[in-house]
Amino acid sequence: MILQVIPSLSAALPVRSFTGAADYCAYPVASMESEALVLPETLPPGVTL
Amino acid sequence: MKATRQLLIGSTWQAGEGEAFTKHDPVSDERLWEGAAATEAQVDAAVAAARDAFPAWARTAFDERQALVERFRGVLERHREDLATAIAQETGKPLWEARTEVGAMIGKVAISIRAYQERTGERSRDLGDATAVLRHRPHGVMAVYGPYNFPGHLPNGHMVPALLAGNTVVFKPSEQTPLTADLTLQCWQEAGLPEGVINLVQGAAGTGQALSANPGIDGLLFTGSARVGGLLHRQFADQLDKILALELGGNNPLVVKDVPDQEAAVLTILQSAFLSGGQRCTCARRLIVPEGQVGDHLLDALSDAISRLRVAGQFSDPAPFYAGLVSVAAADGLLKAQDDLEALGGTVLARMVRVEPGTSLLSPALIDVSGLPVPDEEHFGPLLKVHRYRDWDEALRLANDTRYGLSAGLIGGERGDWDDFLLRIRAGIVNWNRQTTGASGDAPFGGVGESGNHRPSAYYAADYCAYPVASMESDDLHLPDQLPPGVIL
Repeated sequence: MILQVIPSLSAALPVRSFTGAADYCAYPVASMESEALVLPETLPPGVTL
Repeated sequence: MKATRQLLIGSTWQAGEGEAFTKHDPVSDERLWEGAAATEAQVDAAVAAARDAFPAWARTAFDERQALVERFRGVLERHREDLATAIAQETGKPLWEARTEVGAMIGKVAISIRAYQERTGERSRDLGDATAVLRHRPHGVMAVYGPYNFPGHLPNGHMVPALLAGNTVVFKPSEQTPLTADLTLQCWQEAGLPEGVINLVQGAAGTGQALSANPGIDGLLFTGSARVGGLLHRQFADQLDKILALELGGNNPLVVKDVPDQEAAVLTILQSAFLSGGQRCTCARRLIVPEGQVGDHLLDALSDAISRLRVAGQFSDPAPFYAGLVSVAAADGLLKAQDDLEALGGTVLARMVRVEPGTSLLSPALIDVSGLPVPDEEHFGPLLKVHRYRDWDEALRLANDTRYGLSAGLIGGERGDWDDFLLRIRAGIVNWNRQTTGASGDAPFGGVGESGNHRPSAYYAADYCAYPVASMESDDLHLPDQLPPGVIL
């Protein structure tokens, strides 16, 4: 299962509000996260495990 | 497509009048591009052409600006293979990977249109007798500096949002990738680029310095090294009228908490550290591994997989995992970095060697530097340092022991460990059980520390391409029912 922390930016960050102070009080963190560490079905080119 | 080997100033292709330079394929040594750099006078002319084009372009309706970038997308689709071939030749990356770069350029158009509307755009609120309106306006002339590792995708990630917002551009690509820039500008022209809206100045540091020092630019968008980024930051420190967006490097940690699946862990490490031969700013540079048997086994399995990793020319069949570094000189630098780490006391677990003489093809290095005072440098190639740790707090301390803060990753652990990692790690891209490379264009891209100047790119590129204008407006001027205290009319 793959969760993306920011599935939809429109939901997470609807619009810039008319006051923007929140912008400089935080920095964005984008994550790709998966509870399980699994091998994909196909390996990338050039990899032998 | 065929290279012009020239500069584009206004609507005129013209030969550079500065220092001559050439670009060779770093694996085959084929000459790909030769021409001359833009002189200071030619840079001035390019900025002037962008300035002349700006008022009309900024007034052009958004729909028309959007139509241009959508036509550009269509041109990219038609020239997909030409561009991918040029990118593979110039950067040394395998053809399969260069094709994904052109795919990212194509995908950038839809993402940037959505980001323009969501991050900037226009919105209003009815206040009864007036309307509060928020609009965004372009800065003017943006200087865009491209890096050599993604010579198509990364400058494109600045230029498409800049144009959508109504800016005009002077583009200075890396002197190591003049061909990709040359072909990209031809694609823009084929899409109907109006005169002066994007100008191309080729050249190395001298051209870059002439552009950054030009008083006619309103902003500078730079992707490249922390060293040059730091110089630009100091240069712009007392120029409050200009916007500066820096995307710099990282000395990125990948922390192994435990190893639920050894093969999957090895693959995640290979993909994090050695994708593109380590020539991605999100590549893991430091592997932080627990002391003891689990860590020992993982490092054995990793060394074993490294010995079987296929490194070969960009166009080889079967395809390599990665191919050349951008230049033979870059490869020499990586070999020297390995020597330096070994001289400091590092234990080489997998030795980097040049795969074919005279090329930039390098096998991966895995070097245990636990407990050694190694410099906090980004080695931009297939070199992964190992740090062993005793407990979780030490792992986090090691992970954060860098002046940078671009990407970080965690392998293994439970949800609680991940939550703790997320709270304590200092980075802008933080992944769990996923490779550190391969950021999504749907998300902002940037980091903390010396990885940038807090102007994240990708989805947030729209932010630095425009400034907000807040208005209170009413189409009739009338006297309020009540006058303020002290006023008699």
